[in-house]
Amino acid sequence: MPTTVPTPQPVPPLLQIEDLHVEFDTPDGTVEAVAGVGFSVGAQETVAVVGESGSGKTVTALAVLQLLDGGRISRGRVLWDGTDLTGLDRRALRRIRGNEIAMIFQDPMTSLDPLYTVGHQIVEGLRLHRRIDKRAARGRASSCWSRSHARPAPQARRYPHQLSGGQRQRVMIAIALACSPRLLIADEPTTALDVTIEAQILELLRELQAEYRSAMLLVTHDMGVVAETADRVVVFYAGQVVEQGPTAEVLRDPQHPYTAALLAAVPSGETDRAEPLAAIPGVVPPLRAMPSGCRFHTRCARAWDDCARDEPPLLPLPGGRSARCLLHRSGTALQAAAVKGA
Amino acid sequence: MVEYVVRRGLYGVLVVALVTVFVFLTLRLIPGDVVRLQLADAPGVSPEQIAQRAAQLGLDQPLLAQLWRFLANAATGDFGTSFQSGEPVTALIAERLPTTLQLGVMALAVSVVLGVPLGLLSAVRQNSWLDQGLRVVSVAGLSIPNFWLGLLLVTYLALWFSWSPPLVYRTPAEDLGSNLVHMALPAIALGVAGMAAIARMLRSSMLEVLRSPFIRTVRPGAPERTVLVTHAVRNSLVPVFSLIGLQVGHILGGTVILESIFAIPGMGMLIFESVQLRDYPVVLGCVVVYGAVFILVNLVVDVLYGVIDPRIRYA
Repeated sequence: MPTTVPTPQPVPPLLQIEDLHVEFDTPDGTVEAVAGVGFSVGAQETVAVVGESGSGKTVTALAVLQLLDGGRISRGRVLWDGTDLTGLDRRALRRIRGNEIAMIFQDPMTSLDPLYTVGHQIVEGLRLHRRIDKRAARGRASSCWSRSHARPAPQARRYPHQLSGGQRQRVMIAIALACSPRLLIADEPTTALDVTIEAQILELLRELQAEYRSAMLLVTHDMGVVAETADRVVVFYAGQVVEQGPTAEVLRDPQHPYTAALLAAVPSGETDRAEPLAAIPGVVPPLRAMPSGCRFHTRCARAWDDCARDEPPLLPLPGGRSARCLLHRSGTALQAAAVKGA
Repeated sequence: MVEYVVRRGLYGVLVVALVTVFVFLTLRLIPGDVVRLQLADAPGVSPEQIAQRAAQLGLDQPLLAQLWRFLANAATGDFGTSFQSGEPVTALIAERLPTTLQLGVMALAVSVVLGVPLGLLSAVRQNSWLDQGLRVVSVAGLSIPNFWLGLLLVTYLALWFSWSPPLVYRTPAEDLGSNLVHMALPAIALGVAGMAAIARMLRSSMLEVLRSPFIRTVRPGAPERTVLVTHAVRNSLVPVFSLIGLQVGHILGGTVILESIFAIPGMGMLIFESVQLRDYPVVLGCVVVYGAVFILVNLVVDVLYGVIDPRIRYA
């Protein structure tokens, strides 16, 4: 009897965002903060989303969890394990949020309820998702806690205002990881912290991510953080993905002039202190006055006539990369390698 | 903590003493003389008789001497005797204080029991017709003077429902039903402003809390009820709490006129009558008690504050 050997199916990514559009109603009309974003996060993978303020990175992260305050997803899908989160009701969402997908926010100073002890807040999150009694929850919380913190538990009886920013972010991480989520969304988790604490928190996130086998979606504007933590990087500009690919390659050989300009703006040890820091000329265009064609062309050193007219698609490139730039359009005389000179 | 309460208590005594001095001096500025008021009707009163009566009441002494004597006696718990009836002021107050406390508690209950749910509803259903309507009601409630509201209530209830409160006051011991019906209207009239203030403040504090990052931390995984009850409501009640303490002041002040309008024999009415008769010791005794109640309530509020909010430290 012939047996049919199952053909190996490509493993679908854990999280897949497809053509996501997010709109906000403002007194002056509707603006689109995210305009057709698509990328994916695989199991146990770390993906960094980078971009300037207002590029739509945080909105995208919040949209994944259906946590948009005042905004709405006007188009697109957010597939979690094959299920579209945009169509789920609150009940179904609750089973996923905080449980399978956890989120760490930017500001640890205000992200904890000031009226409850931090231990209580870790236990609370756990008990919402696991049918366990208080004691078991406490035990689990204290193990999460001790793993997220250099010193063990007496701190659990403290209130948030008694802890430093770094300690509070550790509490946030403990809350997020208490349910062993499969995906951790960290929205600028270190922006509010000073540099030494930042390094510790990033190290901690990396360790715990490996231990809990979670994937991580890291939202940041810090290229240094990207280089240290991410497997892949997704570069946002003005509500769109302009480039994505494996971190090392993107950082070494950016395929979009915006990425190249961002990297050039990072000061290094060799940066001449007498010289002014490199910056991208101009500002991110306001949402209601997007330039025609390529959204970056007004600030792009390599723009030519076509850029103001043709909106470039996200063009696939070799090595699992892609870039939204006309330089890569087939038939364009300019070579991709030339991007770096931008 | 104990040290804090003791210190606040001492400050409170000082404040009451200062208020007493202020009221003592202000009373003497009111035109009209207690001796003339008492003897005016008697025909052919001689200047000697007037002087004799004044001496009886201790009014022949220099003003500061009178003040000093009052304060010294008050410190021992003796507020003197009524110029009018000759009864000890403490006895008069003891007789009437429970009635006023009952009215005050009822008014405060109206403020809190209506104000808190209204404020929360307003915030949770922000910009709904309910919210808009409540905002109008709040502004109206804050703007309408309590005595006028009391008069309106009586008038329109009588006009539309041919109903009016009992004419004769009964103590709760005599007839609880009649007593509560009698007290209901003044309690509502006194409590509406507090209700409006609490609803407005709670609405804005709840909206602020709902937008704060820590709500975003719990909201993803928690049922909306848990988010609202355990986190949002508790946090937004913190600022409202001190407002409740301050409302006690408004309510105490309001009792003076409302007890008079509704013929409730409490301390408010006693103050009202005593001021008219220039019965200085009674007015002063009542003022001391009102001041002490207000300070005490706010001390309790401040202590409870620390129970609700761990960030509060007593220093």
